[in-house]
Amino acid sequence: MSAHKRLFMICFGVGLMTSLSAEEAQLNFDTQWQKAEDLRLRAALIGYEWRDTEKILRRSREEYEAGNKAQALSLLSQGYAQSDAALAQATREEDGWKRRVIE
Amino acid sequence: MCLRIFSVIFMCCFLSCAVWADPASDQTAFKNYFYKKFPEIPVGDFINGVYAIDQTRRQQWLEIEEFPPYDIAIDEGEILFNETVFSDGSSYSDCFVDGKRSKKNYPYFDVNRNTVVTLELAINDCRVSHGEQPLKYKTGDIAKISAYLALHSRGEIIEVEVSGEAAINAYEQGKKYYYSKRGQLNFACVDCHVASSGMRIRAEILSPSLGHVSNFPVYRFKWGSIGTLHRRFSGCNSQVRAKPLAGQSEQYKNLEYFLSYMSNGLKFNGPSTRR
Repeated sequence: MSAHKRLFMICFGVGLMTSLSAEEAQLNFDTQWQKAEDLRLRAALIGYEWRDTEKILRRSREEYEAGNKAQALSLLSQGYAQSDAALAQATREEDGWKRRVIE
Repeated sequence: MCLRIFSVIFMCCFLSCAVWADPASDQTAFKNYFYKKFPEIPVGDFINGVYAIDQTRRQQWLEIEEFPPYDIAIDEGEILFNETVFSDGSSYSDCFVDGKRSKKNYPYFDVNRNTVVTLELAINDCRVSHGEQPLKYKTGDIAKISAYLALHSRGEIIEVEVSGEAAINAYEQGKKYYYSKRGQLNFACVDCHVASSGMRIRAEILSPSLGHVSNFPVYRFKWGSIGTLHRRFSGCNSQVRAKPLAGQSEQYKNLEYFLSYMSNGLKFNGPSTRR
């Protein structure tokens, strides 16, 4: 899935959550948060996780539980984007590193 | 049209040859790059990192070396190495026999374990094989023992061997790690320590990669303590906003293997001090 589609899904999710009941919103947040976390773990598994992603997602969860939903969603979006970009970096570097080898 | 196809095929062949060159050719190219970039630096002086480039910093460093801050770590490392008695009555000396305590024997590729063995890994292997808990890999007692052993290896030549399919694979993984961009800032080791070596990054000067492994463990003023090479790798990762890996992870061991091979022929001069 392209980065644009993922971003769209997050925005869609965020938009949807604002018009949902509390239970539905919680469920939606959990789903989106888990998606971001799964991406982070995939990046970590191949040694490409970025430094602050885990912290950002953890803070997102904390803000949500404290009732600061706008801040939580902003952080979630940031964490998702970082995980996605880290995976894209890993894919790019699978061959990209070869261009830098000293000859 | 034919000419274009021929050119593309030629370039593909050329690039693949360059990337999968053998370790010896890599090493020659790596060294020549730095010899050409820093023609004024005597070859043997690359072990001094940034102090080989900048005379003001070199003078400060030489002054510091008169009463080096790592001295205490060496003394403590000596005590730890020689006086620690494991629960089964053995000691480090039982593991590090026949010159195995010299840094010049590390890192090496252990075919039976299919992994790179570094000095710090060997120290913990020794502990574990005698029923002790392993030490933390990046700082503390392991760095002190390593400092003590490094002191006794000063002047010895780095001569890492890379032979056999598995060893070459580990070397290639280390090479890939070195040249791969990572982290939010999208930096590879090569970006700072090859292309930008000798240049300033804020108030600091970026050191050349050649000779990087020779002086570890180091006492860093930033740390206020002595630390291992893998601690430094972690710091570099963190600075480009990549999540640091665990000490003695396969990636860091392979990176150490690659970097050590690149510095073959230079002398060990650890422990040392760095800013």
